[in-house]
Amino acid sequence: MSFPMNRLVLCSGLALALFTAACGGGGNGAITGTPAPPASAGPYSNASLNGTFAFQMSGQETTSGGFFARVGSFAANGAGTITGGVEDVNSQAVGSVILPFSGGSYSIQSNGQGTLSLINQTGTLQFSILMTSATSGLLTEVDGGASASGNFTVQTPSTFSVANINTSYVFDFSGVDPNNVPESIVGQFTGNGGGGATGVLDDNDGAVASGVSAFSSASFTMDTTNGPSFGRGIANIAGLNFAFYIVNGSKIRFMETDFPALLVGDATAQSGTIPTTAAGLSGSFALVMSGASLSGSDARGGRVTLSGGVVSNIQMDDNASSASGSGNSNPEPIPSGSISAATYAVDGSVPGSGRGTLTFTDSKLGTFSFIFYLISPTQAVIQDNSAGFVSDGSMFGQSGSPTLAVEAGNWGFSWAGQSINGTTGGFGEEDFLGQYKLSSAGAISGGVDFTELSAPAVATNIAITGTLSIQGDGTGRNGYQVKLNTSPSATLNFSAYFVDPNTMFVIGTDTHRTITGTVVRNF
Amino acid sequence: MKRIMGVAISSVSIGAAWLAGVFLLPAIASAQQVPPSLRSGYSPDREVNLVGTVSSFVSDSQTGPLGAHVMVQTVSGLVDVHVGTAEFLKARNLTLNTGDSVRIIGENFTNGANTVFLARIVQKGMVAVAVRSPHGMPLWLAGSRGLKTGGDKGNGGVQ
Repeated sequence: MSFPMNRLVLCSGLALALFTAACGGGGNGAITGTPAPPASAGPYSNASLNGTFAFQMSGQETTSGGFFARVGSFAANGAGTITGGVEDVNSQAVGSVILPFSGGSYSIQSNGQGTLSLINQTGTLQFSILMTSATSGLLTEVDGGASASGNFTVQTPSTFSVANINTSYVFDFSGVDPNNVPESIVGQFTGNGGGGATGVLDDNDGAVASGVSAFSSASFTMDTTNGPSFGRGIANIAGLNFAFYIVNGSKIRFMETDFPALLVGDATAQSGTIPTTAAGLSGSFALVMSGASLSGSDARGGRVTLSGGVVSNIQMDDNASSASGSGNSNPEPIPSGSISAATYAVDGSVPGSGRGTLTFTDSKLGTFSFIFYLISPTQAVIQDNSAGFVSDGSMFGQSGSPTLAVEAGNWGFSWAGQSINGTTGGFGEEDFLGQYKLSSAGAISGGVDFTELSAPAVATNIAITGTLSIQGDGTGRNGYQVKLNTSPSATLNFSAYFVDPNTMFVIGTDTHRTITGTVVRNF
Repeated sequence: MKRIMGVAISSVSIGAAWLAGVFLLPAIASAQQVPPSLRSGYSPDREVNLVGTVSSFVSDSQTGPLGAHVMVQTVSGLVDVHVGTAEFLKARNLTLNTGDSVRIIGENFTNGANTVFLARIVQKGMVAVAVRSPHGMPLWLAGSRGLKTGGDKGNGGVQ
């Protein structure tokens, strides 16, 4: 880690201004609008944030326009004060650096919405946060330095040792390679509890797929300074260097430190009996992915049913920013033509890895090809290996029977993607974080905070209204529309796919943005 | 693990050697052929060298793909070229104005009822900017990366 430390000193001493992008502070304007209604009474308060939390986020810097990520840990005292922490940042503005937090503060409303500030030597980072459970939440940067979002999860300090990296993990890292080319790596490694691991991976680097590739070299070392308190360590996986933060015995957060390369993602311990044949993997799955295509950004998701090696019941949405009509992105339903050659398999050549393939051909849209690694029989990471695509995401087994009566309640959401400004041509990332109440009639009422670099602007506490329209039995494509009561107002349209009665994946269907997100019941 | 290495040009003043290589590429002479679909992937073997004059430049085209398009007048006619985003080009000191002579390496694709030329390298004068990788992937920030949208059901974000 000599490079990051050297870079830190250089940047701190000579180029502090450069930190504005990666470390807060920027020149974005403000979007005004109708204030959000008062928060619903809920179970959250400042006491909800008590302990150390591992966070991870990524997005686009305002100043450099480049991809960046941060992963770290902060300590909250349950009374509104941040008592310490540390983060690793990898950005085009500053390279790969490690920055300690000297303090900060936070405030959480009863509905889980709140604010968080983290102070480091470069200034104060400002976030909007949303508690989604008693132990985890979502966050988005609102200081104008970037449009970025991610999440945080409470850590278990007793697991802060490489001795606990002693089982099999599935990982999903995505970002850019050293040439700023989109890259996705998914795979599995098995830790030996002594700081070593072996595994397999699939690398889609710039639409060139590696195929399954075994690696015998991986190492994990705890950071003697920040490891005991914050779970930080450094790792080398298949020749790539990472900072990592242990969350608990089943999850580790990673960020690559090989600037200008930058991959970021999580490793999750496998659980249950991992299927070794297609016959062992069945059921309906909701999936969501985001990444890049030849034409630009891409958002993809939907629902498929797996049984006996055959993929059926395909209902998906694809928005590949390649419209031929009005607008300039291209939301298309799948199937658009007839489906053929729809199959899946669990890879017998790497037994126990959970690796599998899924493919189908749409007579109008072409062939779709995916690699997945199973975390459990009902959960996987998924990589899009279709021609000209670099994309990745998650796949979850569906459960429950969603109806509006069942779904009524309080929900939080995080959406991220890219949009273009129809007036100025400004183009960039946008990240939304909000909370709303859903009525049993499908009406949405709540508030949102967001950053939109195509404006560019930051908006907080903006009222939202909208509708959820459940179609059929609710397990396929559902209608989801949210109006931002900004001035002027804006409406976002999505297809929504239920994972379970408490979770939806959403894929934007508008023609001037490509966006995906997750919507979760937060109380 | 060995990553793909091969983006030779980001934003540079180019020399005679590179120009000589460009001239060896075929001219855009395959207009009569039906271009492949955008979903068929980018093939370096199909790349062509487009030479012409900028007719117009729009940062927010009303036809896809999302982003900046330049209309290039060639001897074969007007060609719609997607060049990434205006911000990306500007950050690399390349602005395209009406009347500019340009040389663009890329590939023609069918996009619905239209065709669009996806630029990989855009050259104006002695400055060339790579906007796509050798396999056609965007070098501007395209797509929300970092798995913010997948993930744990209860966590909503990165998995």
